[in-house]
Amino acid sequence: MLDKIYVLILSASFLASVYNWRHINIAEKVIACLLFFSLANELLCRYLLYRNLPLGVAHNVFSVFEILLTTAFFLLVVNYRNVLFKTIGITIVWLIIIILNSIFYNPFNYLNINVLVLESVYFIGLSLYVLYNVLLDDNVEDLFRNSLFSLVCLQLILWGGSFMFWSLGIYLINNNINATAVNNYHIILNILVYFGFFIVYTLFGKLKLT
Amino acid sequence: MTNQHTLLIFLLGTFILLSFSLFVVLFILQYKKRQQLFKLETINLEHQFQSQLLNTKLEVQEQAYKYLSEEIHDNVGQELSLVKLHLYTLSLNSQHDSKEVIQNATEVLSKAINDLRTISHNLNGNSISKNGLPESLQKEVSYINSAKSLKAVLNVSGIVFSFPPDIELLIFRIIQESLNNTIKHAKANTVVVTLDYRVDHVYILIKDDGIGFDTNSPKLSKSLGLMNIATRAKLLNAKLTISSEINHGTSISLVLKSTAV
Repeated sequence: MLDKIYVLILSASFLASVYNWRHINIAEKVIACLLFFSLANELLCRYLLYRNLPLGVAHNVFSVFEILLTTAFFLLVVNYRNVLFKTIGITIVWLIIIILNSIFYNPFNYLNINVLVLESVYFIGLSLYVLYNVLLDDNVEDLFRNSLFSLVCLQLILWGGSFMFWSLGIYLINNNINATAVNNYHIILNILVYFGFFIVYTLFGKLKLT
Repeated sequence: MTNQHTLLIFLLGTFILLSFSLFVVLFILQYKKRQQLFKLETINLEHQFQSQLLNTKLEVQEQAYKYLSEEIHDNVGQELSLVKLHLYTLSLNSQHDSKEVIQNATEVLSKAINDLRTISHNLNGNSISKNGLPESLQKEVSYINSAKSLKAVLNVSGIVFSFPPDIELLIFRIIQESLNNTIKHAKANTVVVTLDYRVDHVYILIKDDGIGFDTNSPKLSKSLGLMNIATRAKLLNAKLTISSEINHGTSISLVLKSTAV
């Protein structure tokens, strides 16, 4: 049931972003693309599960897109120059990490758990860095109406709330220790965050961008 | 590490991280809210300061006008009257031709005295607080008409109410400044001053049929007269509109709420 709600909310937030595509800025378009890849990955995983195939490949490939787009988003929010060049550079480094992880730790057809933990640390760090910049910027006003700030906060909550899941959650699930509760927690967290994305894109007209 | 320990660490870790994330977000929101409030307070204080500064400047100006008015009236006026008296006395005891010269001089001096009295009257703001705005304006209009170079008309409608004396003085100065501009620059035949008293505001219009001017002209922003009008209107929180067209006259309107300032 929660799984279905999650996919529904994810689809709704993606559709809301597409609906406002013309009005949203480039950073928000990047997040909209990320929503598309998340949805595609989710549907692909369901298909693979249905066919009893390993999910690892899908997760590894998705991780690359996730890192690429999320990095681009954060760099755009802090107004860095040469965002494309920097994003590609950082993604190449991550690609190497993913390959090394698949060679030495998590084989390519298995869930890339180490990469996900590192990703959490990386995205939490980026979110905090952006928020630090918001604190320093005297020209930022009325954060309640700033959609980019909301998106960064949602990223922080998503990755902050997921960190322990990626660190220990998989172990708990594999050992069947309160597995349903742990799994449900992660799905609920995702539902709440993606509902947040949906709200941001739906209320776009009322949220003034900076 | 037992499974129970792992679960506990998971729960605790998740709780700490989520709380931390929420704390960071709330902290930034609160911080920015305070920063915004501080900014607003600073702007308000700056506005208040500017307003007080303007008030002080105008008060000083008014004091100067008053002083000048008293000086002209009490000293220069008295002296000129004395000269007139001497010349008059002299004329009684002199020959016929010198008598005519003295008589001319007396006339000129009389005119000078009258002019000084007019200046004195214009500068002294006390008459406005004593007589009220419409009556003071009527006197002003009469002075203009007495010069016979321009026909000035005053229309007062609605139930007249009074503003505090300093406000009435500022309104009077705005109208006076506008009339001065008409006399000096407009080359107008007629100027109409309208005072329309409504329930909650007064509408003032000064309209002439003169040569007008280009409202987009850069010289306009440097015009001291218009700047004075704008500054005073701002001080009154009044809505000022200046519209003009070349060869189609000028109109200056002012809308002032009865609760203004």
